[in-house]
Amino acid sequence: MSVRVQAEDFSLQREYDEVLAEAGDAGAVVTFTGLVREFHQTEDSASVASLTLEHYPGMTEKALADIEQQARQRWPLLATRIVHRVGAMTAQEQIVLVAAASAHRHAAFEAAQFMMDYLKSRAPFWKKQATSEGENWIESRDSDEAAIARWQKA
Amino acid sequence: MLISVQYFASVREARGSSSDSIELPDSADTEALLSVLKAGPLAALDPALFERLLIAVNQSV
Repeated sequence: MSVRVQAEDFSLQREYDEVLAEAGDAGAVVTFTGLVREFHQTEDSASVASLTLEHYPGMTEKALADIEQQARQRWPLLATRIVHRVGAMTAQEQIVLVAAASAHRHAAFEAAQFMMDYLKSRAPFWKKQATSEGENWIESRDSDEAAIARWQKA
Repeated sequence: MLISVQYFASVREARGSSSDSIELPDSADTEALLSVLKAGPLAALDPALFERLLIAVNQSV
């Protein structure tokens, strides 16, 4: 499957190898790996002890598959992959992987960014951070919506 | 019709439960469901939270 939601960590090398094998005669493979940051919100001075991601099983996978499909319709992609983790994570852990393979680099770069931008604001994930000051759910950001708007104009 | 409502994240925590079953007329829409929830199971929720709710029907937003 090119879209997965899972609690366990993933191997960037393994995912890359599988995308490359699926892509065949690719001239470019772009991978993006998102990590848990110690300071998730700049206005919050407390460091993040843990980040817990919740999802809606079934619906989240469908949303990711839809995002992947949209990317494949917009660019000539040879392979794509989205892996997103859920559950409790600590700083610097891998949280998400997006990969796009194409004959040329521009399509791979743009498709990877497109999938990541849409994933951030359209996929049903909820993030709860735990700091020394307590726990709170993280609100969506205007910048995430702005990133989407850029693709809608294109 | 019997509607199964699933809650996630802050709504689930505020409700203290992950789901409710709500009986509604067959012609009811999402707004009707929200009204019932506001008056019943989710009455204790911060009203501001309703402005930020993501609502999906049969897994479609």
